[in-house]
Amino acid sequence: MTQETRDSLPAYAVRKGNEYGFDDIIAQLIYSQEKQIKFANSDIALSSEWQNRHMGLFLAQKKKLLTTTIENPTKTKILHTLHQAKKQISLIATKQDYHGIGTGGSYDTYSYDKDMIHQDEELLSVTKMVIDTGNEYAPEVAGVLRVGQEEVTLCSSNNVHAEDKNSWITLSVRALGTDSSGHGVQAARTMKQFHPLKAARKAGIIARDAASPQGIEKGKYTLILDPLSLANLVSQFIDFSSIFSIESGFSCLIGKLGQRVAHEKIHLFDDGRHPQGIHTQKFDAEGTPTKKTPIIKEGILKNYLHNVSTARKYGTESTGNAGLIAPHPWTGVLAPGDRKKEEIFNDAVHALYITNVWYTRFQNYLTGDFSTIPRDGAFIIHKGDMVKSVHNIRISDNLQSIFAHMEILSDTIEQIYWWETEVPSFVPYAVVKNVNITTSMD
Amino acid sequence: MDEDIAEYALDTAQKSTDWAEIRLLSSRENSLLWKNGSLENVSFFDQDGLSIRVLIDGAMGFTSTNILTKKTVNHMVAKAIKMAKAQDKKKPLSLSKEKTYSTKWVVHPKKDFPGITEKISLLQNIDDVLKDMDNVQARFYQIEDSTQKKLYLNSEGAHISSLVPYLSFFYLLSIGSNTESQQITRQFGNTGGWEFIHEWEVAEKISHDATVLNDLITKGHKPPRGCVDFVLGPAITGLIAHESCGHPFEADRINGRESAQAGKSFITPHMVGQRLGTPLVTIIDDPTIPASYGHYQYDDEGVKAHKRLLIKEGIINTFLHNRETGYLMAEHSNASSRASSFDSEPIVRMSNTYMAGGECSLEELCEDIHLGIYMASYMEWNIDDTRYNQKYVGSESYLIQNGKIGPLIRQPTLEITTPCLYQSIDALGKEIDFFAAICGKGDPMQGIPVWTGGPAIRLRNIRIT
Repeated sequence: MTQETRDSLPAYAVRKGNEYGFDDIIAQLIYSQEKQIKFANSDIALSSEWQNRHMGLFLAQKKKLLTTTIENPTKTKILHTLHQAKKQISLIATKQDYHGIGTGGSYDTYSYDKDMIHQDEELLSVTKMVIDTGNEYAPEVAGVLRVGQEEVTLCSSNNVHAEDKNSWITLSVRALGTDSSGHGVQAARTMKQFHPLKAARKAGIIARDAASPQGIEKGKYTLILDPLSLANLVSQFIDFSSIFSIESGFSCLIGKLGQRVAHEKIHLFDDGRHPQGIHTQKFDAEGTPTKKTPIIKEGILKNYLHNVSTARKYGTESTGNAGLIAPHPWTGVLAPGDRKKEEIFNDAVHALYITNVWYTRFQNYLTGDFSTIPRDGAFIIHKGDMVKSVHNIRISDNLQSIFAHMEILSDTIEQIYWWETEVPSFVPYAVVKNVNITTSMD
Repeated sequence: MDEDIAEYALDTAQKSTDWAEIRLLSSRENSLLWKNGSLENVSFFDQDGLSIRVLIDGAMGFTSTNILTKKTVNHMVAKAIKMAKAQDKKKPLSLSKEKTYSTKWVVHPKKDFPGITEKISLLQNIDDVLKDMDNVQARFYQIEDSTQKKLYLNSEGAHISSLVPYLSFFYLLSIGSNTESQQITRQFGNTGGWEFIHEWEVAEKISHDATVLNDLITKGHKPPRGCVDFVLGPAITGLIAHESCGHPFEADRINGRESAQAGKSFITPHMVGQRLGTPLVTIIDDPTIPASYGHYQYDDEGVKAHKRLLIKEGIINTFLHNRETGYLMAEHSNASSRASSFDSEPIVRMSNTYMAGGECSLEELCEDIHLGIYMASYMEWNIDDTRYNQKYVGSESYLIQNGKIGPLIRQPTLEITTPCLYQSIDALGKEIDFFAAICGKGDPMQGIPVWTGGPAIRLRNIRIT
């Protein structure tokens, strides 16, 4: 694809959209390339590559809204789509609480590694080193190494013309013993920021130490949450702060602006501009510059995440979180605390260290009642020692209560992103008191 | 759909590979979102793309693109070959030998999908059933239809084209106040046309749910503790069949291929023939059920679909296989390979997984229960990554006392291991119901339409603490 083609298609879509009589038009052209090496049983299972080009279109006419996507767009396809959209939008009911799109702004630039996607031999070499490192501790290693880049061009009827380039590399690696496992992840925007063997080593050590797990009694425990497990909960919490989740009933933060929703030591942000964030972008889907938005400050809920329309509806400003349909978070950042990781473990008295969780499900999004299942190593910790490896347990509690009892945080944070953490999140180790642990009848 | 580009891709790929396949997909999807009494968004989406999978010296390469030009296809074929050759695999993989088909299959809608006006009218009518309730906190509906045209080709001569329409509906209903609330979600789905929108009786169900959630707030009792019997409604039986039988019987899990994400299985290859449940427990996965949400006639490796008996009268009978696991375990594929879109690799998936029924009415299941719980629907559930340790929390649930279904109870919890669950079943209902769901697996994540199903079942002597 030539530079001329990339530049002209979104502008063409906006110009033609104007001619069709649409009031607000956003055309977002994305050209993406991704490569992935999937490995299992300490061997490569599949090597994959994707190349795709598509254009997202947002169209509004007299408060009637329509979105569509055009695969591999051409001017002919754009005209055809606008023609279809014109016919459809006339039949749509108005959205009375729609209040327009953004007007753009000035954008910062973030790190971009244009070479990473082409380093096939390096990616293969990294994969083999990850497997070998995990195998130093456990007989079986599995995971996914993925690298990607995208070029984004966005034009709108509010004279926005913006361009962005992003790159990312992620690793999810699991080491498995006969009755144990451990997990490690890495996520970065450039190869220089990427430390795959650290993740492999962590997965291997947890798998090794978690051998011969035992059951424990259900009841209340003090938890030490590894960043991998905490990120799962932070990802949920920050998704709940989107105004779309609030209005739809998918959140326990409804009606709580200005109220205490977490321990006073909790400061949680959505950061679309984090220099290392793999979802960091210059601008959102309507061209508003991305921001760092405080969600929780000293335990108090401060903001919901908005696009321009929802911000105007609620008398506030866009937080730069627009998607083509609804606002969404970019990256969760839970500010670090003041404890060294070693202090947290050394000070623990019969605490339960959870290295990873999955399958987080809510009984009631409005109340935050939920459960999630620890997977990979879990350990009883007493004054710095791993007293025993445990299994077959479940965290059955309330999400807001978990954050209310999160009293201690470590002084460093790391980016977590994998299958079970959809919103990349920078999080520390955390100590949470009085958490309900349940077990299964067997 | 440009079938020539698929043929071109196969011709190019098979020249220098041991085996190659092409999947070309063209689809039109329409979606309406409705939130709190008004239309939130309308969207339509045309999808066109293909994937290329090649096998060279026991190594697999996969590429995909929506740029359907010969230049890009040439590039992507070359990339698939290059990546496969570079792997230097320790243990080469291969594919089971299967019969090759050249055919076409179509699901014919009885009623075409309507335009936007009729869909908006439907959403308004559904929403109207709640207009007299003053404690509806939020409601969110989504209706989607799509028509997927697919062409599958492989270097063994397979040439299978298909045309399948899908219709689905989802809702989340929130009832209550700032101090107390209840929620429920429901999903509906079929392969077929607009005819199913009326069969689902969405308005009736949302009205029923609103009443039950309100009653749970105003009249719901605490669930009993101690040793009780459970009667689980078909919705929960279906979920159990899917989560703790279908998933652990996926042969790719059993062999560790998904262990980094979806996990492994407490089932091991040598467990075929072992008892897992009482003789009443028979669980089936069947993609051939007409109009089902998980219906297909040929899987995404071109293997002809048929019914699979996973557990037969309590005994582990067979696993779900694609051609890779079929070869690995010296068996055949049983047509369990599915991909959620053109850019996804086909992996082992369920279709419509259900427990076979018995002979009892609901009243008969309850009649000799002294103290028990009837769980008709659920909201929260989860299961560990070996599919052993699971939890189901009831939404619409009732106390059973002295053989009779009594008052509503709030959020009873069944937390139990898979063997314990299947060994506690002592009676089955005679009516089987099916429920639509989107099952997630793979990396990148692939959501795929399935049905879960079964009868009401009775579990004896369950400890609730």
